[in-house]
Amino acid sequence: MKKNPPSLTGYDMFSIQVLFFGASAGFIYPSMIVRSTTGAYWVPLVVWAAVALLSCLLYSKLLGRLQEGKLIDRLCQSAGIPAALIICLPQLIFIFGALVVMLRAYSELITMTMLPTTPITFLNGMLLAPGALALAGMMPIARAARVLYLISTLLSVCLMLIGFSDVKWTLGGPWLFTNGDFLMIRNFYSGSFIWMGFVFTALIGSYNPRISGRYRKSYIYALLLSFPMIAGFIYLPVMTFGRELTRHLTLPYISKMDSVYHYWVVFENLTALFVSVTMLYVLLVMALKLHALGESVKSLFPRANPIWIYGIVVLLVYASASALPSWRAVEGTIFYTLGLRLYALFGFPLLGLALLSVRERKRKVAS
Amino acid sequence: MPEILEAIHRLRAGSGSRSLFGMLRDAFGDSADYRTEAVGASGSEPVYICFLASLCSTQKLDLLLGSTGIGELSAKLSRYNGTSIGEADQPACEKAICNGSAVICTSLSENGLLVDLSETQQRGIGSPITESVLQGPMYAFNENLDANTALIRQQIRSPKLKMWETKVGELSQTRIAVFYCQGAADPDLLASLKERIGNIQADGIQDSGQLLRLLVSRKKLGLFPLAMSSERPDRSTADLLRGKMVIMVNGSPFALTVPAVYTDFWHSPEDNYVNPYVAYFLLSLRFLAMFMNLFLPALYIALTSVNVDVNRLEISLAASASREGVPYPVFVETFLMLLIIDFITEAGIRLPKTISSTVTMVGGVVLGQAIIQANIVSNLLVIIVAATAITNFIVIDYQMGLVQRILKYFIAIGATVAGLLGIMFCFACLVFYLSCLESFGAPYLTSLRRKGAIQP
Repeated sequence: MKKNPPSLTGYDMFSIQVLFFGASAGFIYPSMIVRSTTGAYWVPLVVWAAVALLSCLLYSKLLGRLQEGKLIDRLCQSAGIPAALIICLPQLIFIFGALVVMLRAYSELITMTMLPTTPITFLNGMLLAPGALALAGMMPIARAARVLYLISTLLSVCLMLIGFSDVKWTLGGPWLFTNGDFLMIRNFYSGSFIWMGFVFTALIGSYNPRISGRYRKSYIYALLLSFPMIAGFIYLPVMTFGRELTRHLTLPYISKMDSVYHYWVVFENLTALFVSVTMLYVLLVMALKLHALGESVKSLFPRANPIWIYGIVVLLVYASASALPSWRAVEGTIFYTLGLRLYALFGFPLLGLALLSVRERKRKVAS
Repeated sequence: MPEILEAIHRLRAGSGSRSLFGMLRDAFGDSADYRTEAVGASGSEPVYICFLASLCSTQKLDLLLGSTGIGELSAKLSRYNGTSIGEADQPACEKAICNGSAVICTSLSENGLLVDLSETQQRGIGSPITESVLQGPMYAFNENLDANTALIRQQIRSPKLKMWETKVGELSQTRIAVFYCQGAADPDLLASLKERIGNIQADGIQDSGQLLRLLVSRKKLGLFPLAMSSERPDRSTADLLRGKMVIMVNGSPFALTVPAVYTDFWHSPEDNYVNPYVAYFLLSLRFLAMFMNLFLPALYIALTSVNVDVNRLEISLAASASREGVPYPVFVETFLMLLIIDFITEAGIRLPKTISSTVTMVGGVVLGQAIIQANIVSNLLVIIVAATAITNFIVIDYQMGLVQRILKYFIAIGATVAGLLGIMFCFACLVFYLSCLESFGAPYLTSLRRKGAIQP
């Protein structure tokens, strides 16, 4: 009897999603939210969280229709490879863009904070480790996620708690006021990338209605647990420097970490610790994204050698991340890929659902 | 023993040109311990007993060879009180002689009778050397498979304990046994293990470690040990009850437990015998020691050469002051000291106990003091290296300890290249590597908690 391909457990999924939030919310995201509104910061967060939940439910519905199969494989079977390729292409470009931005943004962060003289092209070489893990498969990624989740979340929470020791709560206000101004600001939309962890996990592993329910539940738990952490990334610098000054900071949370000083803390420069811990998040999430991309390409081109697929993807990501000229270009890329992100959030699952429904109806008519 | 006498008389003369007696003489002729003694006569033909004196029990031999008179064969045989005697051809006789049996034949017969006179040389049951504990059973496996089997059976007195045995090695014909608890062990793993052992092609196997290398294909052979090696019967039986399998090699006092996951190597057998809170504390201590062992030298390099601003100013100034006059970069002095401490450790292990303490004293105290006074390394580094060496000895499993010794260099290289980030990158690589490993079908990074034991 053929064994079913392995699937992620609820805890695996939860760990991965928490790591995804940790990898994307700490450095570039706080400045986007701080610049997006004059009202309460938690409101845009809640709006995006609700949008993400809606999208997650759509994906969950789509994945629930699979019977122990991979999503892209099923789409290829239902629509044929050319049609599936057209549907998946924006999704693949989105993942590729997300990878490039994450790699380059993190390398820039290192250059700005810890290793100013090290060339970006050398730092981008860190992609090799996630590349190797992505090639090893989904279960090694899940196992690594379980370990890194325990270590990195513990350290992040400790750093955040230390950060709370010198804040002025009055600077965080207004706590309730909002006028919806963020809806007109592009930074609000640019920040959508941190809510999309479930999009990547949907593309890897095999699903059935039971696993799909688990997938949805894990994302909700991860969202609930990570929400205070994400809010902390935004509110801590605001409650330390005030709204106006924080708006002018490129990396508010990093600056916040720089400002922490206590005689009982062994290390003086907590920024270095934060950036180092973030590396664990980033490497794992890049492995996840690479695997999602590699597996999707493999499903679309089943005859291609996986080693070649992953090798070419890693090379392309490395070259693209090295080719971005500046930090502004990174921010620009985040904004200009908004359309792709919206497609990944809603377009892709809706199209997938429609395809599977049509296919099912045809089969019923035929039988 | 009239039936033995009858069997001797029944031995037929060979139709070919060579008799068994002659062929055995050709096969073992150049072995100084090969003996042939005339013990009587069958008709006109003298009856010989052929054996390897080094493998036979002198006590049992005395019964057959005690008197030199040729005519007293039936009297001698009547004194024999061993296992039943079987007839065998030349290849079987050669094999039997190598196993300690004696062959009785006439000068012309083509077959012989096998008499089991074997005596296994073994040491007594002693205390464990590599896994000493303060509480718990104090006896260990020895090199005899039958004795080891008895030690396991004495701890699991249940028919559910099964033992599968085979021989491996073209020339050594080493006995290999696989123990498992029926109902608890994975039947797929058992089948795969039998197949793997059956496929081993080797001239001889001397130790369970060698067997493990042969069991794991060259492709999957990595840095980390994929099976738990233990000389403690209590540990092996506990593992058996948890559904694992134990492989034993005749001639090796170490049992292999498969599958083994990473956290298994950090549990001491003592953990089951002390208060659980104390056990958790000790476990935490071991993990802390593991992290210190891996990261301490690397952190020294990172914080004194690459990320100088991360440390508190007072510590950074103290570190700089201690390095005053040291002519080498931080990573050179660190690698130098790490190598020296590894030399001392290795020398301490290989030398006899009486000399090893002197070497440790000379290496640790005299050399350490001299090297600081000569301004070759800093004071701080000596503290770091000493702490690293001590934390390495906390590692429960010897093989894992060796791996740790290697890994600290790997992480120190990361620290040299990119400071704290290099350390984190190396750590992430390590986790990625471990997450890809599998030990006989079980993921190496399975769970921090051990599964409960089954009731036999």
